Amino acid sequence: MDTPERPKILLADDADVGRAILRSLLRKEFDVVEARNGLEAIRALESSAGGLAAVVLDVMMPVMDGFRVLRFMREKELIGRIPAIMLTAISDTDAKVRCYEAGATDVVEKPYDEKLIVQKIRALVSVFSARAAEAAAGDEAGAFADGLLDALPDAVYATDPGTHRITFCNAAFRDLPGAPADPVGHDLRTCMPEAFVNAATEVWEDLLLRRVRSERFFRLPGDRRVWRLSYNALLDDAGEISDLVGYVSDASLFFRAAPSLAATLLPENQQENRP
Amino acid sequence: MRENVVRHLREVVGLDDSEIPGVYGIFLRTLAECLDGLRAAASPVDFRAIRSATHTLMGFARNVGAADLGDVARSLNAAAHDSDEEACRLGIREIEEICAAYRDDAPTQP
Repeated sequence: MDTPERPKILLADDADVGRAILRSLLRKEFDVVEARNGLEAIRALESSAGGLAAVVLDVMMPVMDGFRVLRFMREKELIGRIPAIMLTAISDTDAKVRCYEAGATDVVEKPYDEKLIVQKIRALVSVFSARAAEAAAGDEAGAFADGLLDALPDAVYATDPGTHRITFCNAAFRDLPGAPADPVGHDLRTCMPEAFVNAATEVWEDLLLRRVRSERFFRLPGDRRVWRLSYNALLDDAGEISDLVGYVSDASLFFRAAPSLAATLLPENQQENRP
Repeated sequence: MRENVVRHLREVVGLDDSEIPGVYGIFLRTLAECLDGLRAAASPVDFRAIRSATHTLMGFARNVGAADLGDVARSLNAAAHDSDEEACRLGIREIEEICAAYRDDAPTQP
């Protein structure tokens, strides 16, 4: 049976004995990668940043100090993804504030309490790995939703209500005659052919007058249609719009916020929604 | 080996008895490096170098159980911050004596 992979910690401290003690404290539950200065720490980050669960950095080190390592982590967008714990023998508050400003997740004063530092690293690793798992699941759901919309023969888009800039579109929208290669970010009123803009506006006005649905659509040649992801309207008993609960700016939000509307986009339901 | 250090390494750090001599040796080596730095900074007195060497000592001394060394290092660091030459010389001498005592108690090579 495979042994589950142990979280890996990068430990950078120029004092051999400092590393020996901390390595001994952490070895029961973590694999420890060691660096004797900031440069070695950066090299370790370059070679295995993706596999690191936390970074423990002494502030004062030869060659490159802990601040330089934090700067490197910021440049590589690792701050916020990997917890960075700074170790310092300096007890003044300003020095600790500088560590946090540089991107440290936490600052531990040396000499440290042995039980506390292990607990702290364990807690940070746990929080950051849970956050990473959540983000990965969110990305997967978003990608799935985008994939569904890209598979539709209908063109689907969303715009920012204030600027009319396109915030999302699927593959069929990008293939519309006259559409720019990458429509996202463009003003819909100027980037699309006039006929398209007029049709979209007319349909929107028509829908507003009839107050039946908030998502817009109109037909394209070949029995295809254009949908605009828009407000999720709540209708009262009389069929009047009673509330607008949110602007839908991308496909994954659309599916999360309005699953019933999402269902209307699926090909087997298209007939039911034709005007 | 000094009993205070051995006890700390065994009970707090969680080392096996077989591992303690190795870490004790690393402790003495780091201590010797810091002491070299302090001696070089003693005459003429180089406050910045003293602060650097005592910073390292302060960082690890208590975590190996050498509280006496940590206390003297902290006093010496403060004296260097205050640019107090006399206190620095006395502090360095005191650290030399403590280091000698730790070295005398070092495990013998097999």
